[in-house]
Amino acid sequence: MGKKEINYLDILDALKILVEKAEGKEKTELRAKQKEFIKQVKKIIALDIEKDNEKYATAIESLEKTNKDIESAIKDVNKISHVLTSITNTMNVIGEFV
Amino acid sequence: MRNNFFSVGKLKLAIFFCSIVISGNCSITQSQQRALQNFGETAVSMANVSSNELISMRNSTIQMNLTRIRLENSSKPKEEASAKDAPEYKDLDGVFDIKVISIRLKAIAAIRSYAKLLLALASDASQKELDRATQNFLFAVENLSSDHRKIDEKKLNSIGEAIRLFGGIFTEYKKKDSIKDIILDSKEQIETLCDLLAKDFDPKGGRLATAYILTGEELQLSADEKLDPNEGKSEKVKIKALSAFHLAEKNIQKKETILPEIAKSILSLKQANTELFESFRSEVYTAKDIVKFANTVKAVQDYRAILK
Repeated sequence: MGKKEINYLDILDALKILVEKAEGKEKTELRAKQKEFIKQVKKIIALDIEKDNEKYATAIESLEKTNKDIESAIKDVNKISHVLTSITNTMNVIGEFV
Repeated sequence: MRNNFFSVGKLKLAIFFCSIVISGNCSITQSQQRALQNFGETAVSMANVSSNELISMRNSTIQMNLTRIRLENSSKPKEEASAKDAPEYKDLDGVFDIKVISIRLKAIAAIRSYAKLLLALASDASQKELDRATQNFLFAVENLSSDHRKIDEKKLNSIGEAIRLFGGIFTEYKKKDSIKDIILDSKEQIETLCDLLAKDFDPKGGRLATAYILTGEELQLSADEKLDPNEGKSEKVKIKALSAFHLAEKNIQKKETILPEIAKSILSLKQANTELFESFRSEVYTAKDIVKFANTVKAVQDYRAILK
């Protein structure tokens, strides 16, 4: 079982309901708290994204290497055709002399 | 002596047929072809939608942040409000900075290339290439043979067919061998990238999509504040707030529509990759595969008889 992610949007929805129900000074205070919550969550997300960047970089590097391997494999698969073409070219050259 | 020769000849023949049987059995099966096609199509459609949406999320974030700052400044003194070098103006794209976006676009592009290259490797383009090379080869043979010893056309065609057949078996074998190695080795890389991307596009994933929705919520909160009758804002500010509210709502709505859909399509790609992996790890032969194999063996026997 993986670590359960905190659902920030659900928490925010709960806060919004509180703001809607509040009035006057309390409403203003709750709005300020809501703004602060969003600000702090964005900071946490920014840190998580930064960590992900490294994971992305490693996986991309590896996949790009694989893509180069596939390109080589495509060339390898066509080897027989290349050999035939080389023989044909040689035969054509010989044909000019015979 | 004759007995000896006979058994050596038979042995050679047996080895020859065994090698054909083994090689012929090594072409891509129907279920593998289907899994490859499914993976390729899912990857290409996912890549197109997700890369567009990534850019759209960044642009919308900038637009929402700018609108919010302007809205908040609209009730401040003019000098304070027009300070364009204020720190808030310097971070309009929030978490969507160029480095973050470009690495994700690069990941999407790498997956798309991987899928396209795999399909290219599995395609019959190599067979067409072989056909073309064989045809040129036969022309060269025909041109080289002297007029009084012209090779019989039927025999020449048989040589061509034999080259195509044996070349095709070799090509198919090489193809499958390469594809199998690549798919078995790259399962983890694809899964890692799918997991990372799915989190980024899931509004509840705590990454890019969540930050994007939060930016919308932040704008909506500011607009809500300005529209509150108790705040006593001017009509001009209220009109601006109303427009900001709609902009925020339009973006927030994506948490119910396109964003979860993209996250789902990325997870479908991960599933397609697992199925592709399984199809190459544990081979399943269908009736069509067996017929294809039987036809190959028959063709080998036929050409052997003609070329004797």
